[in-house]
Amino acid sequence: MIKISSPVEVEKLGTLRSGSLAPWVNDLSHTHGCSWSKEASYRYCQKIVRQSDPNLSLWMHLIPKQQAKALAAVYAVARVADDLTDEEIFSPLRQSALQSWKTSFEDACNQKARHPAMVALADSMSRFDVDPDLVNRFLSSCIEESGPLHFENWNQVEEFAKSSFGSLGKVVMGILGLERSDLMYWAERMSVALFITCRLRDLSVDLPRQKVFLPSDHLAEYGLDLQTLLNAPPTDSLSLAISSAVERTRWIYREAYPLVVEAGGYATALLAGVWLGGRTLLRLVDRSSAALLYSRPGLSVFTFARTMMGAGLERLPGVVT
Amino acid sequence: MIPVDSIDYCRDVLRRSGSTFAMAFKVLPPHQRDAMTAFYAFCRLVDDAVDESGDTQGARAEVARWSDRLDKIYSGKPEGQVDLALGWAVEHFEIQKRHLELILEGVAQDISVRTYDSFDDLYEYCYRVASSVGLVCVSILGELDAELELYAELTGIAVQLTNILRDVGEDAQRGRIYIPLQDLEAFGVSRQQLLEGREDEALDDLFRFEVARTRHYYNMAQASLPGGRQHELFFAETLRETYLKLFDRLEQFGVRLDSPKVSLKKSEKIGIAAKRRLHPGTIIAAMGRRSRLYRHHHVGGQSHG
Repeated sequence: MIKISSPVEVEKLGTLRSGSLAPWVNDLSHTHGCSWSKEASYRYCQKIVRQSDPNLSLWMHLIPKQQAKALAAVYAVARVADDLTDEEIFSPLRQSALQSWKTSFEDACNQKARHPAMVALADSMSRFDVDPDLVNRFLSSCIEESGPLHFENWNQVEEFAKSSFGSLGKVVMGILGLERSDLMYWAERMSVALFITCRLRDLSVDLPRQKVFLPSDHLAEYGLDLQTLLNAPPTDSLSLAISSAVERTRWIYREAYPLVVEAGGYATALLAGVWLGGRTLLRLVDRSSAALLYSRPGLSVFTFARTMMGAGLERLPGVVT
Repeated sequence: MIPVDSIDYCRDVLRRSGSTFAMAFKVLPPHQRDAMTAFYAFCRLVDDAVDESGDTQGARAEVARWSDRLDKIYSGKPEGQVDLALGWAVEHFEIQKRHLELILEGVAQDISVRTYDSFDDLYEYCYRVASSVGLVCVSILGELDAELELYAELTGIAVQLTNILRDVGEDAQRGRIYIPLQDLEAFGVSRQQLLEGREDEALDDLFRFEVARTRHYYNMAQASLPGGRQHELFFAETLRETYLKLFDRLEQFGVRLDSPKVSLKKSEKIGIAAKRRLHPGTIIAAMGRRSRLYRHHHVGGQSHG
């Protein structure tokens, strides 16, 4: 078992996450005739990964250079979309900025990329034969997420997760050369688990914007409904609802676990990192419980490193309980 | 050869300005140091002439006069001391006339324009007043190509946005608003509120947004320069890092209309410069440059300047 004894790390609300891309996507038309070379664009993406997610940056060292660069490009584009969707600072401009970002992706598909993240992604997509529709679906789901959102049941949540993180997951699998159907299925399960983990973590940010990823039928089991949740939910009931959602998500991680074992080679190492990172974050979510209403637990390098060491000592397969 | 009287005159301008550049330029090789000094003197004199001109009309006349002087420099007929030194630098380092003209356009724009509607407009202004300076500097410090052009442009934008955020209160008191009016509107901040110095949550959000945008430009500027060239351009990188540190501090304390001007201590600036100058990569790059110069002088049989 993974042991975590430190207090939950909480990010201050309303501040930009470290290394946030914070793009002003309408700036893309700028630069006086200078364009981003592929090399410089990949450097930019790698810098974003280093700044935004040091854990992932470490894992990227394990995989071949070309794949690592392509993953950095995917990450940078997704990070912009994610920041625009989530960060409070962008709220006055969220919809138009996300739409511009999607348009710049469409431009990139037509060889007209201007933003460095898009230049790198366009190159990676042609190199690894990535279906543009997958990225498009992800960006569309971000636009959908930028407004109020709620679901009737877990099936709907999972479907949404599949078009969001799931689409990106398929892009990543394509870059890693893992396109066997069973691997793709497990990857989709992993994407769903990661999506739900992140959305549970972001409860405090999402609620004020009327985004609720705990579906209505789940809330009803604990005597809650959308309206109570948006106002002042009783913390006991909410804790139980979160705890059961966490347990449900834990099962999805277990379903996805064969991906880590079956991927093989460097992909196993990378996917193990993602899987363990997701599980650790889920554990932090579980610990936060109803405190998620006003805090957003984060995964520090330290916590992650300790988790990895713990997992290493107990051997990875033993983590699945 | 650079005319001795001219460069002495430029050095004097630099010394009298009290700028820390006087010390910073000392780490450069002699030719680059002289060219940067001449370029600094040009910028200083243009600025002073406009500041002392009294009114808008006078300022415009000064800009026009400097524009004529540039024409003469580029047609090989420089007149004043600074013109002679700059003429040498222009020839020696292939400084593009367009980049110097942009500086004059920026100064002229600063005289007449008091607000900017969109970020597009502000970007153009930043490009003229700051990226142009960066473009001339990298022409002197390295070989200007597409990579360096992008680096100079983005660094200039980041630096100027930092200046704008640092001086936002002071500028508002002078009736100037550099933050795009479209942004003000999006965040529900009125022009009047900014001019009157009334701070509230909306203004805070607006400033945090502008800070985030500036960070984005620093990120892009840093990424645009390949690792190897960072050492070749250690001086430009020192300037960028100094501004980045200033920006970090600004971000840390938060942009305020009434807060004292954020600045760096001299020791901090020296620390950044020393770290860059003494980096093994910089030393190796300098050795490479010296050996290229040696070959050029002694093996190729040609001489600079």
